[in-house]
Amino acid sequence: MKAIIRKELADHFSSARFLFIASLIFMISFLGAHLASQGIQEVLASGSNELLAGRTFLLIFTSTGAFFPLTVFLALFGPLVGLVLGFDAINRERAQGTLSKILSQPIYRDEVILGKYFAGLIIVAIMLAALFILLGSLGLIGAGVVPTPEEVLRLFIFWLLCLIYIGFWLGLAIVFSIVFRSVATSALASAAVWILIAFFLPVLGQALAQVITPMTDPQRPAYEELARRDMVNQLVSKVSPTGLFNQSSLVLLDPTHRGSSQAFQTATSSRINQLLLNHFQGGLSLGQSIALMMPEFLILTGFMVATFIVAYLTFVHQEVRSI
Amino acid sequence: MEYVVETYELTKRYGRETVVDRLSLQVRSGEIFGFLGPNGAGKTTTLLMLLGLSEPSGGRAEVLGLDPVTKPLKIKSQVGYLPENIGFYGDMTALENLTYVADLNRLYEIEDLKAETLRLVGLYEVKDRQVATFSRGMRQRLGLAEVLIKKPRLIFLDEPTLGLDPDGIATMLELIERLPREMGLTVILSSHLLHLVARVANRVAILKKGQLLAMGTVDELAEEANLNRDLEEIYRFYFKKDIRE
Repeated sequence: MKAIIRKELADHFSSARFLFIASLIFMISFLGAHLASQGIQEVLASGSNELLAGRTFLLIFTSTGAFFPLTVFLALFGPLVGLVLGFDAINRERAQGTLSKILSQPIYRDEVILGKYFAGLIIVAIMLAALFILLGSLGLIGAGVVPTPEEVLRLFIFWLLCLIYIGFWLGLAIVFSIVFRSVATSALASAAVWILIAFFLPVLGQALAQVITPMTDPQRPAYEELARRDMVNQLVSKVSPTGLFNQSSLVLLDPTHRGSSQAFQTATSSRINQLLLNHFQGGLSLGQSIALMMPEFLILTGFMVATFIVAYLTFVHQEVRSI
Repeated sequence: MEYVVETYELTKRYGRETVVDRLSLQVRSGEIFGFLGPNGAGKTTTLLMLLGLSEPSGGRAEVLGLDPVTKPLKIKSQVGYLPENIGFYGDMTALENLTYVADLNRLYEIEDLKAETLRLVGLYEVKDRQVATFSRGMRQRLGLAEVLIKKPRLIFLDEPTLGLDPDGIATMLELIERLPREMGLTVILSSHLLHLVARVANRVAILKKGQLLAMGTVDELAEEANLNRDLEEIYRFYFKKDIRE
């Protein structure tokens, strides 16, 4: 398996399309981080920094800057990295006639699929680590903020979260590369599913929630109605890996964030919220944040494992004659 | 006589279609065994079953004394297989392609053996060229080098001369003929080109629709059919016989 991983890594690092996508993501992230760190500087200069205590550094990733936060950017365009690494993993080898050659060597079939999957994950891990370190140093230099140990820990968990999220897309792309004979078909299928899940599913969820739970008086919604709509919204967003990633990254990187439930925020908007804010003083602890995002995190991990298992089983049970 | 390959009523079905039908044959050690039959006769499927790449629907096989169903890895480390349409990584050099196959066999630091094998197939001078620039004949010979690098005891060559020019065919057959003598290995050669097989094979098996029509040396088959020692005639004879029955 080592031989396969080594070859796949070499292939990816020299492949034009991976370098293209990676450099695109690096450039846009850089721009975003630069704008964000400018924003941080302004806030720091205005003297209202108690509000930011303990999360200044993370703002590089979560502040809206000029367009949208880096977390949202990664949620939308991170999948492309996984898809680009995986969509032709098996069918290209089949098309060029190298698959039957490899399978007639004394290796288990598992090693082929595992080698390709892990090589992809390693690439993603390296790319994300490099990206975070570069953005972090940009924050250090640009905004002059030093991360607290807790922030570093939060970033590390966020790295893991991104890896799992992109790992899901990698697995999905590999499934397509096994199921579809033609490289073009699997590329198109990957792109279609990406657009559907990353862009349309959240909108679809809101629309669905509106249909299922009509409001009697949209101006002054009753709490029960809000809660019901919120529940449907939440359910739909838990079906979408992008939604799961967004929710958990928000909780993880923004200690003042208390989950995405609208009803909860509405309910606590008044005096209680004030009390809560005073109680937590600037935000949740790391342990509380982790506890809050754990359900989403676990479901997302489940998604990743599921695509890998599907890829593994379809590949191992495929008739060789058709290869 | 020691057999390196033995099958007993080996059968493969895809759905309702029977591709290999109760095939029983024996291949002796050190011979060149010709596997003859038109396209779709089940030659490739049989080879895949012998390698453990495809599971038989019935019957059983023994390759080098091992069962392909339970011991595919042990067989694959001693048996080389040159697929019909062998492919390479075009952006890698000949040596890099060969090294990858050697790595998959867990054969490391065998630079001398690689050089020797590339010399044998006449590709040593171009070993650092990208395979994408290779002619069909060169690719086929590189495929043979990849098969030989694991020092196999037995090799399966599936249509090794397909699509080659006369020169390429001559070089390939010359190489194949040398293998049993110089490396002491057994060759199973599948082809639908009869005159080529007749030139190099010690014994042949004629296959049609997955069934074994005849097996033996070319002389034996000729005698049985009362014909000249011409494989083409023998082949036609057995096919007609099959049709009459």
